Amino acid sequence: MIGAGAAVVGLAATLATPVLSRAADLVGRGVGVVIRHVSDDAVSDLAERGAQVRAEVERLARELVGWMVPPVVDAAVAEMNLTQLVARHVDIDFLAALLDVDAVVARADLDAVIARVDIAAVLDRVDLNTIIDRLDLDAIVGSVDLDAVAAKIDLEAIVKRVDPDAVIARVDVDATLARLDLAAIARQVIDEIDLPEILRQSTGAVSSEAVREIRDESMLADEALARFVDRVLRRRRAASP
Amino acid sequence: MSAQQGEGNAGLVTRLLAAAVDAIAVVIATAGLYLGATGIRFFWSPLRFQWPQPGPWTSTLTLMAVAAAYLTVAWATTGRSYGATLLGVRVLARSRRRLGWIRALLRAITCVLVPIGLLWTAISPARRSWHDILVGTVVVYDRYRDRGEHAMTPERTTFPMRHRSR
Repeated sequence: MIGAGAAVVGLAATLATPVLSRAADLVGRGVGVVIRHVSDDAVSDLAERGAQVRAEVERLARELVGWMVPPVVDAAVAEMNLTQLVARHVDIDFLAALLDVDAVVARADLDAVIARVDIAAVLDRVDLNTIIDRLDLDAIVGSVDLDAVAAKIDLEAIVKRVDPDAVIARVDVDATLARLDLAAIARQVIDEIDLPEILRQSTGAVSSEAVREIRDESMLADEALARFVDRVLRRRRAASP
Repeated sequence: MSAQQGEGNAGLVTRLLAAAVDAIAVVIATAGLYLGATGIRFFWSPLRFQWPQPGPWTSTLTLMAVAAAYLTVAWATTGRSYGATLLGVRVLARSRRRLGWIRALLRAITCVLVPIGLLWTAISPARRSWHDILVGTVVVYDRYRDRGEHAMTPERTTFPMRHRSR
């Protein structure tokens, strides 16, 4: 079937070629005669009119395209599932590898983005309680090296910045004292301390020192007197062990 | 008889000092007695009140009676008067037991009547006074028994707190 069609077309071409070449020759001669006998003004007019017609045709074509293309494209897109097409045919990983994210971020005006965000609305939508319930605070605290954190804190500098006078000025000492039951505290302290025993001990310790001294001295004096009496009475005294 | 027999018995100096302390105590006690009696007399009849002026005999006899009573009670109960406690001596029977009331009273009376008999302690090889010989007593150094019996214990240095059940 196809071979027959091709043969018919070849035959027609063979037959038409001389006729067409003759016709073209005649048209060329006619055009040459016309050009020789037509004035330049007429040619200019024609060229100008041609240009006008061309411009009009272009405008109409643009309008036609503008009028025709959007519904056609919409219909086409509606027919096709673009997401699936992209997923099937586009290597997104490859594209992502090509992206210079740093450059993108550098170009982004983050301040402007943030300025556009309604943070209050975002916060309104956040349920903090749920988030906190989900947090394992023990684990978080356990993972923090508190010693290292404490070591980094310059307490001296912080304390130097604190104004003790201002702090004390803010404390209402009278109110604090009014809340304390000083009498009860004093009673409790006195109850806890056995004052008579302290007095007994202290005076006892002092007096016992003095008493021991007196006893020692009197004992030595007894001995000395006994030796003296023995000597006077010429009494033999046993040797001390 | 050697002086070794008196080992452990208190000598004259110690006993004189103890007696001096006791004498002061007796004078103070008698003065207290006098003031007490005077006070009672004042309350009994304040309008006719006059300070009592006892004669020398009355005063002496009162002093002696107070001293005898004081020494009797001290020796019969603990074997120690205040002076003996201070000087660390104790009056005991020769058997080293505590005196009975009668022996304590006899010794007190002899001591009050013949105090000079105490000086015999210096001459006696066993360091015994006339009263000791008469009543059969000895006066011994007893200072080491004080530990744990009285508050005069410097070893106790902990801060004293009341132990209460809560």
